[in-house]
Amino acid sequence: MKTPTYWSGLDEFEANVVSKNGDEFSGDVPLENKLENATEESLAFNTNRRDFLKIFGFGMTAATLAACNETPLRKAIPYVVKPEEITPGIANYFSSTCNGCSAACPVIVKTREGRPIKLEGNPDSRLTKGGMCAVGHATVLNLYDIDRLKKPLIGKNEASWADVDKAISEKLNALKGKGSIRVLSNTITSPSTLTVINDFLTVYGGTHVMYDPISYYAIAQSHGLGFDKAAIPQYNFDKAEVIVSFGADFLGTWLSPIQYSAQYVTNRDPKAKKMSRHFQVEALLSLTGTNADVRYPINASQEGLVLANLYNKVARKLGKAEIPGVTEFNVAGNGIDVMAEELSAASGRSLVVCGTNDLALQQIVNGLNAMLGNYGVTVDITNPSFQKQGNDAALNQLIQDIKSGAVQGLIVYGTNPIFDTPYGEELKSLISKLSLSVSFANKTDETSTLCQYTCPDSHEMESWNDANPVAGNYSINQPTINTIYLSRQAQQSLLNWASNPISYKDYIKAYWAKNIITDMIDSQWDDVLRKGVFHKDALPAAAITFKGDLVAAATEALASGKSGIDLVLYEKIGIRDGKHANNPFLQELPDPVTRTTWDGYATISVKMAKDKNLKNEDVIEISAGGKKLKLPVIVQPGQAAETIGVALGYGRGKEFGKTIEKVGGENGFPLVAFGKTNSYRVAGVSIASTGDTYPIAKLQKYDLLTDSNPKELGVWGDDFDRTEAIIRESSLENYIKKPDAGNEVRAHIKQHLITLWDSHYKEEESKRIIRWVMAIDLNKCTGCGACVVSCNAENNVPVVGKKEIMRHRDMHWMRIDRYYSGDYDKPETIRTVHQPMMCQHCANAPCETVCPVLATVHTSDGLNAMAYNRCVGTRYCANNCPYKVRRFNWFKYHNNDNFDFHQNNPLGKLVLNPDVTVRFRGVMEKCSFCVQRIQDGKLKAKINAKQTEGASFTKPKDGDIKTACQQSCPTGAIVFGDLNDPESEVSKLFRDERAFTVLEEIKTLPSVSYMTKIRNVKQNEVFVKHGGHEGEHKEADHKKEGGHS
Amino acid sequence: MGFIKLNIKVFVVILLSVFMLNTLRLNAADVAKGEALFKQHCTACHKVNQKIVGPALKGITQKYKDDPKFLYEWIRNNQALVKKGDPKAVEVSQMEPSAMNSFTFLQDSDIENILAYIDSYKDTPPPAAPAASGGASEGGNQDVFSNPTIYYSVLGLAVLLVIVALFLVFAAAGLSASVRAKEQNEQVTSSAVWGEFGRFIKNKFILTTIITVALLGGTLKLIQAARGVSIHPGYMPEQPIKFSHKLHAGKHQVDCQYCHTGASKSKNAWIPSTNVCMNCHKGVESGPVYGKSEIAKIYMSAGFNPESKQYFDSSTPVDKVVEVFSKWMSDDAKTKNLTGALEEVKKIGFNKPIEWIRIHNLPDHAYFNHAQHIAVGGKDKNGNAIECQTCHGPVQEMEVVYQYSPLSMGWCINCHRQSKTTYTFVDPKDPKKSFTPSPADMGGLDCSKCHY
Repeated sequence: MKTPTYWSGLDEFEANVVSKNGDEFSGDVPLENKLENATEESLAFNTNRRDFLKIFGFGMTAATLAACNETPLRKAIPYVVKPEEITPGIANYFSSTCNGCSAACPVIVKTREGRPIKLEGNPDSRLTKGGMCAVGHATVLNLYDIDRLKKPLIGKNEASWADVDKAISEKLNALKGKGSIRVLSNTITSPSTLTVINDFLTVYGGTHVMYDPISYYAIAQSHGLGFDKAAIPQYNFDKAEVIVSFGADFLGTWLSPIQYSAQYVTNRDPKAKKMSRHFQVEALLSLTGTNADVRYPINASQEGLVLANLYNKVARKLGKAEIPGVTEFNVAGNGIDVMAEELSAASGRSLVVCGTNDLALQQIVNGLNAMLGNYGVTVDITNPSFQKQGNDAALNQLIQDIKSGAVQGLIVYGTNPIFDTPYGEELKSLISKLSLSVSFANKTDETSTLCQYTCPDSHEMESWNDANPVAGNYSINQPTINTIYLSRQAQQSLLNWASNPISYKDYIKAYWAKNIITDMIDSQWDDVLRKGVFHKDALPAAAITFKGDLVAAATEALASGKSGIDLVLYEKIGIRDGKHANNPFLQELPDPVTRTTWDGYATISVKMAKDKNLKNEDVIEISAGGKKLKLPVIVQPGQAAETIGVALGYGRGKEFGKTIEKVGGENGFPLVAFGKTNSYRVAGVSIASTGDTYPIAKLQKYDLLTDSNPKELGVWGDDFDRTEAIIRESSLENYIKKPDAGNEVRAHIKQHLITLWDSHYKEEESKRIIRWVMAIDLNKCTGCGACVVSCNAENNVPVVGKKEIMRHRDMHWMRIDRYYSGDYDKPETIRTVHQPMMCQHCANAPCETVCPVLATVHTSDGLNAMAYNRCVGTRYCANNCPYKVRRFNWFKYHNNDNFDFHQNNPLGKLVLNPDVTVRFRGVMEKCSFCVQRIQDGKLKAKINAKQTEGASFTKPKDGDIKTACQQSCPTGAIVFGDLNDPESEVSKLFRDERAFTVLEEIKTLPSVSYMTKIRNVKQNEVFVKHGGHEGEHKEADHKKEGGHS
Repeated sequence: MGFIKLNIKVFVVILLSVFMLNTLRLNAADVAKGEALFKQHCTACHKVNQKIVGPALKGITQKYKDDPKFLYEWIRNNQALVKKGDPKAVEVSQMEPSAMNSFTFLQDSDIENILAYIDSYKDTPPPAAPAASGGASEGGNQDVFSNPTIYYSVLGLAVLLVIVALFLVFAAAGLSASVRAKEQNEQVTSSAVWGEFGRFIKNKFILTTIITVALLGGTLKLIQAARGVSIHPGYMPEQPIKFSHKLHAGKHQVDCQYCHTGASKSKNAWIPSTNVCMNCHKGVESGPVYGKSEIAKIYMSAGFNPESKQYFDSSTPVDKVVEVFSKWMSDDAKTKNLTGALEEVKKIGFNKPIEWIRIHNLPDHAYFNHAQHIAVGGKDKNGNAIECQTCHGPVQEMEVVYQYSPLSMGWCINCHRQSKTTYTFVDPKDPKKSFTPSPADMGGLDCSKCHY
């Protein structure tokens, strides 16, 4: 048997290459160790008959007494006056805007009896098309965070709003007219909020400073230099046939990832026989990098060199002027030539983006896009994005001004500069010198504890607001619940202090009537509130000429290429800039690439690990720019040899929240350096092993779908490759030749199914009225993890914490498996596939046959149902599940203070979905295909049919029922529906040549089909493993030709 | 000797069998079955001792005792009987304007049971089961042992039998002792008699039988008790307001869904909010039984001033409010104890919701949707539309509402098994094929229909 094509970590890779042990268990079972070392005495029982009888008697008595509780008296309490819009038992939906990050995606808030319980993307949005990200889904939990401030604070003491207002007004009046007040915030996409701040500053004098913890200032600045328009353009990935991204994680964290994900996949459907070509040139393995067709790992400091070379090579092809004085350089043999060739061939239909906040690099990128004629097509500067307006220079100036005393009053709105700017330490001492410091934080943070006043801002779901993230795209933010605590939204505070008697709600309406919808009438406003979004047509792209100084830029870019180790500070999905660090959903969401939870760490390359003799979980000390970080390492395949990655957003002060307290890691923001812009790369870093180790909670080994040896079963040909039973992949070229490329083996397997049973049921599934199934397109799935958090929120999935994760007791109903292929030692060969994995609802479910109490059975519509109240917790089902998707409740998580993750307190419980049972200790649980949504959808269809068509039976229409994962998916990778309806989208996908099911040969007959991953790669770019270390680029079809014929 | 021994064995076995059968509740199963059937099929139109839609049924067997077959046929299919021109049937059919449904599926034994139930029916108020009567059996008061007279007489009989048995054993012991004394030519001593008695009692066969029977009986009792845990038909707690469904739904014919608006839309039927009560009670100030004292509670909850016919300002002190009520209620002849009544009104709370005691308690893991049954769920197995009364019983006759049905899973499933759909489903793969799906086809028996 050969080594598998796919592996999930170094240990597995080596295990297969070196020892090929193929054991089912990753380690020894502890009991076996004990038995091996046991002596006669250690195994002897010390219990005699009397003890046994005592214990037995006690047990019986205790059980009897425990059973003797009275049925509690339960009350039914109605409203005094029932609000007209509330129908108890039926959800209300409000359109609103997500505030998870500054991308400001339009959302729909689901409320039950007046409490928001779930967010969904707004399908009317032109930007997101109804998608949402993991962070957005998790923000609903922030609303019920018990650590939120209950009242305004003066110093550290609770005070009333009247007292706080009075004190602040006095100080503001003392500073009035001196121009020494600063409002410091992150990017604000709300036009109304911006005018409120301006109004306020007009009254008291001062300026508004915006910054972003992870800055995009260089992009705006470079456009100022190149086109006299200092703005961040709008990128159209859907119009790009060739995409070259320099470290821009546009599917994960960069700028507006949901919008870009939706655009990106429109060109990734192989059915069109045409796909975009996506090159990713980066140091770390980003989520976008895992999705790229071709990926060139380069050290962070080589980026300038590669960009300049690419510019020159494209210029040569197009006959334009080259940048002089650039050293010839290439990646992976002739990588730059390949990119230059394809970019120039797709002039005007290509796109180059760069994720580095460096003015010189961004100028070269702009020059490249301008030379390729991409402006006006894939890069739209006429209709810019307002999602990142931070100004690094202004932030720096602010610090200087506080130092010099020019700034006397600081109002911090929605941000935490002591934690997330490079000036944290400085600001800590400076802030006490101010005569007025106010924070709008609604949870105490590093900055607010040092401010004189904390005026808790309401959560966005308690507030009014609007947003204009991209030119022409407006959305509205409505409150969906009364303020839980005595908080007040910041805009209202500013209006009050500026003695403007208007409520912010009316202010927004007036602003819209004046600036957005001229002559707005009430019905138009109602329509905006109902739909949540308002669109204006995009302006036609204006003709532009690039006039940037590329020679100077290139000189600067090339100068940054120092020797030594580079450190890249990056943004991680879920944690982002650390603002939501107290959100347990996000801390427990595994990173899509490293699959780790709960901790900060440093990723290092395989080469570095070998050179420095480091392995996973070894703690290293990183010295960079006079600062030191102590972090455990993760060895990351695919990472450039001499680069270290450290995620930002970790290292929050332990005193700032119950969840933060449990998170490890260190703060990387102090390493950010300001030159012309904030730089998130540090060159010339040194690392030293400390000799310590630090355990990291990974979901790695656990997800391994291990190899049993089917060769012995005689099903497969000699050239068996086990991993093909899990993931299938091919190239676009092959797909065009043969639509079942990569999936040829399926026809063969179908004739050789191994099973003990032909079928569990007499009646065939196809004869049923409905059979629910799901199709997942691996080409569309980017692995972003939005579905995981959406599932958690919908299905009351508990958070279990690091300790339990390390014991493989994570409770996520859905996971996204990540498999690598390629040669571990050659980062350029690494390819990654993400595979969402949840209960497969097998028609021949192995779990059902082993349940001794019939707690898990098949339903008439093809679901594998789980009756919690029947389950006695034998866990036989989990053992017998080949997909390892069943989860056992080891504890009563929702009422156990050892699991202090919101669900155990009365406020946190308000987020629970009342239509889904909160599982108790000792029962098994798993994905239910969102059965509560199915039942609801079926009922709605029947009620509608009764009302409109008399008494005829109606199935829910295709697409009416959406599972939580499907609804949240920004790329539409998940499709759910009725297989027995030949017209349904999902049944069409099931008939597609790309469709395969995981571990098909064991005839579990899963209800989840996956679509073969098709990458747009050329034959010579396909790396086929075989024997690991000999790794050469081989023919793609090699393994197929060996054949299972 | 052998003869005596054998007889004692037989006697003991017979005696213990009587006990065992007692523990098995040999309690006129036909009446109990009859009651269940009656409640399931007849109560929509009939009561035993009262005319509702159909006539009161007390004494029906007496009436037709000369032709009992007629009753069976009438119950099973009265329409057919009328059509046939049966003179008795035609006569009966003219008594009531609305025709009776047919029950063709009922067996003779079923009808016999129903009639037995009607005959045995005694006028007793609905059982006021305590809140946590763990062992209430399924199906209401069909257990004859719940009648204390029967219970104690059976118990007394059993004790008597035991005493008789002991006496007989003692007599046998005396006889045996005297026989032995005679054989050995000795005097019969009392110690010899007691010794003989002890030997009888310690007989292994007897001991084993007693223990086995006791264990079996105990287990059976335990299983029965366990099956009744958390099933409380007849649960009738005292509510904060003495609201009478008999008056509102019965006499005044207020539609159920006028107040329980949610039943056709939502999973909850809802207890109406106070403002719904006020729709009528703004005008209706005094009730027929309790006068103003109960209606004052509504006003208290709604914050309504019955003197001025205006709502109180919400900042009004509670004492002031109570003062108004005190004045308003002082002329009410039906309010005997004004101070007590005012105390109760105060308990409701000014502008506070009325805290009703929930009667129908489903466990958290069971999902129930009213709309599924009211708006969609069509017909029971007889083709009758599902009414509120199908599960909630004759609420329109309840002075105080009590739990009518057991609300056990078996009870739910039975109905899902027996009811019918009226749908026609066309096979999408073959439009020529169509069939009427049963509730089971539509997932009515799936675990995940109610548990998720």
